[in-house]
Amino acid sequence: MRTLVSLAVLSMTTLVAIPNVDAHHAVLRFNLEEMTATANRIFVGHCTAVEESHEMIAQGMMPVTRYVFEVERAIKGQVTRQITVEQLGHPSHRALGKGGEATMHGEVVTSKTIIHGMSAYQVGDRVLLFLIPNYLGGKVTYPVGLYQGAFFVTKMPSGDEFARNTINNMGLFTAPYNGTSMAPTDAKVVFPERESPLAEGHGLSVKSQSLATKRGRLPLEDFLELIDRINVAHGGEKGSIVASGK
Amino acid sequence: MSFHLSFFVAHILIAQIVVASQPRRVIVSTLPAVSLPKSRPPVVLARLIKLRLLAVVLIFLLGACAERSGTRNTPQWVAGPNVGKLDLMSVDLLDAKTGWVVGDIDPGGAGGAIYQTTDGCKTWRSITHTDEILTTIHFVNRTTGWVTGLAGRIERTDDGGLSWKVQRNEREGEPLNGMFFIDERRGWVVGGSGLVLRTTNGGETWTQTNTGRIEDLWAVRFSSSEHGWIVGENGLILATTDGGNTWAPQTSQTSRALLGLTITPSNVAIAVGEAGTILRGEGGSNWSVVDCALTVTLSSVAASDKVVIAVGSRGATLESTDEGRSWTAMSALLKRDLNSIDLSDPTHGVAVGRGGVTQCLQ
Repeated sequence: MRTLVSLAVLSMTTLVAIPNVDAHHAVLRFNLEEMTATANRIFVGHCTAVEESHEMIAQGMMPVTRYVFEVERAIKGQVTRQITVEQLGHPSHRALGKGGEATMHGEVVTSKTIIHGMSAYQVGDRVLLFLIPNYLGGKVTYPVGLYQGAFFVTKMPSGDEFARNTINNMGLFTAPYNGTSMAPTDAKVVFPERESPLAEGHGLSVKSQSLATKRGRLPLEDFLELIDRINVAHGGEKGSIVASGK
Repeated sequence: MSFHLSFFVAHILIAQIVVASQPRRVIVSTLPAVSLPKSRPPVVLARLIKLRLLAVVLIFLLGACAERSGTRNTPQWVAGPNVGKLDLMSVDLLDAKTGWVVGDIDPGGAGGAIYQTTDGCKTWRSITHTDEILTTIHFVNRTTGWVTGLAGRIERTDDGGLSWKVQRNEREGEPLNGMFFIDERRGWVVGGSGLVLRTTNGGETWTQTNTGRIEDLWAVRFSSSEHGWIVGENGLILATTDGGNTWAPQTSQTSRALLGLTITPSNVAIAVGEAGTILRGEGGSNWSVVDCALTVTLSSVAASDKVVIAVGSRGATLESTDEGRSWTAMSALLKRDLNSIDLSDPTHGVAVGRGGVTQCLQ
């Protein structure tokens, strides 16, 4: 519970009004193991609907954005085939006002409407999401480490699929444990300070082992295998798609 | 030291073989005098030649790409001061004294910074705050430079980095990985999924060039305003002969990701990448793989005159003094990954990397 509160506080403290709305603002950096351990749902799906509104949350009207995803594959936790993910804040729309400010619906974005660093998706986006447990009365969630836990999946003409977050997967194997959900001593697979950050064993294929040396986007299948092995190493709930939400 | 000794011994042995096989020839050499046999029976002579030839071959094999504990007599690589604790992504040197570095932002909330040295890597000071993860920095003179960010932002300074003007706003999903300006007006930027940007007015406007590529692009360099190269994922090399209007793929002989690129003054292109990959292309074409038996990732490479230095994972530092034909691995000063290197001249350089580490050639 304490973790959830701190995560909620973390997200709320990123409510800032800065003109460069897509910049990567300071949030705790997560490596892949801590990201996997922190998430209670990890899945691959594509966005089918986006709806912006205001909701009564924590005794106040809050801007929220509802994203509906068609889930293809669950890696951790139980998710429904169609899952609605509700995040605080509204996405910016890249339009610029007269002063060069970001706008939304023709109005300059302010701290009242946008959460800086919150990931945003568009209909058709295919993503791999690491979601924290719902908070604020179980209504809202967000990806672990905000923009870090949202990986956009692209498919090459060759059929190969790749995943990357908006910081080009920086720190997935090198960021130190930040203590959000685990201590460095709890590490089982990712050891940022070691010469080879990925521990041997855990049934990792050679391809998955090689991910730690790669830069930029990562091959989706190998990446998912690695996430699955990390989840298993921590005794996490195996991913499954269920008929109704938990 | 052992490297120089190897060459010295090899040269002496060669001299001996030449003398032994042609005893009457006068040797003109700057090597120290060697005591040579005046006459030998033919069988013994043949055996001696064979043994010494074998020794020469072995010594050369061990010398090339072998790890050595020292460096050239002068200068030496030394560990520099830590520049903060964050990962440093790019370094750019104007001269032996002046340079800049950029990198990650502080998860603690302090954001990031652009750092400058004016004393040749001895000290670094934060000159500007930044709220974006900056991937590259490049100056064309003491005042004018640019930075690129992971979110697609490009900024320009005209006061040596004290203040910056945004020239290109953030674009989601457009990480910018590499940048090069040949003068104050003409520059190129490369990024994720085949992104190539070009400016001819100092960055006031940026035009996206359609390369038809989808690979991540990691580095771009030009040898003139017309001739340039880009390297990227899956061993991709693109070349242009019209200033970046059009790009054509070249055969690279590798499928490894190429992460760093440099062009020597005599127009030899050298690319480095995953699994110790080193490619060399005379005139920027006919690329060949330089076999170096390394497995670490090489992230960046820089050249000055005939000296070429590459850096990479776990502090890997390789040096070539013959424009990339042969390389020598040096003992890593630091065990942290080095992400970027620049040389101001053959005897001055800086490499930067994970956790704010710096390594200075001086």
